[in-house]
Amino acid sequence: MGNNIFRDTIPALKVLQKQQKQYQDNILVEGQIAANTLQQFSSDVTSLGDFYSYVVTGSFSTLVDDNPNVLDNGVCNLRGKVVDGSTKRALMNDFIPLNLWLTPGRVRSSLSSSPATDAESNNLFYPIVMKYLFPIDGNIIVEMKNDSDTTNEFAIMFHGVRIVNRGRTRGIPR
Amino acid sequence: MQVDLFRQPRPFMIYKRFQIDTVVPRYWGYALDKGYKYIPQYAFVQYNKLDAQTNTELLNYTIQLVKGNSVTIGLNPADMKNFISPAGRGGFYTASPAPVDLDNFGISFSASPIKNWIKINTFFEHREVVGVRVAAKSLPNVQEEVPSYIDVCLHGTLVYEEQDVETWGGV
Repeated sequence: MGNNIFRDTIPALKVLQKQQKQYQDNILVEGQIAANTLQQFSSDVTSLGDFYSYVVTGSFSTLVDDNPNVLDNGVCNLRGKVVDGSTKRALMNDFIPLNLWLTPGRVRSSLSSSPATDAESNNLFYPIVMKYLFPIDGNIIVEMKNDSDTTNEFAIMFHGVRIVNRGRTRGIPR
Repeated sequence: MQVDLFRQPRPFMIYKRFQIDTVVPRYWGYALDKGYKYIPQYAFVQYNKLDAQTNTELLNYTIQLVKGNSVTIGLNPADMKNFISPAGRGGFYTASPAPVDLDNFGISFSASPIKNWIKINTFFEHREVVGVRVAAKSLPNVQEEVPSYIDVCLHGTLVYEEQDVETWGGV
């Protein structure tokens, strides 16, 4: 809300014209990962246009097996690596524990045996900078390892700008 | 839109888990490829050790960033507690025999305020080694079967050498 409506005039036509070329957009990569496995998750950038990511946020569960229950003990057992699917270029040298690069981080999970009484979810929302352009028709890959002995889940949101490719995009108002 | 993806500066995180079972400093380095400079911007560290007897946190680790394997950044090793951390004691199982509150695991950034982030003002030339050295001033009094870990994660940017490092990204 940076505009002062008594001081600034918003040039609607210019904004609309620009908006046809680029606008705020998000891409979500999420999933559930089985115990002690390595899995690959991805979301398509699609043919709408290139996607320029500014920041990343994310959450994850911290579940372990406590037979016969599933316990949320707050220990991060997920490690992930972000890869640009179009070039297979990794943005990390290794699988990094999610709590070292994602906020809000740990959240309650419905996969827990006692979600109602588990500790409150983290609520500090502080995006981590990840400026990177994912090209049109590519995808964002998240390779994930779950070191826990039970299923965990995660969600990672890339916040950025969609740069519309007019020549290849249909259905965008002009 | 034409984008030269090869030369595009890109975010890059460098991560290493150190296992600490001696007071001898541990060193690890990430060798940069030809043509790439690395600008670390923030470092995040977590570690797992509690004193098994008192259930208190031990703050006796130190950390240094190192250029190559010799040139340290900063004069002295910094006490871990003063350096950086999203959370300090991190998301590990601890040696504590007693149940530990979730808050104490430090999964949450709220456990340790963001102000603890330290911005790193340096960059590494191409083919240099981004080195990290960690050490324990003394070994904690813990159960032997539970190892001590220190996780170090550098958040930074890889820049192709023809890029102007000085003008990119407000570093």
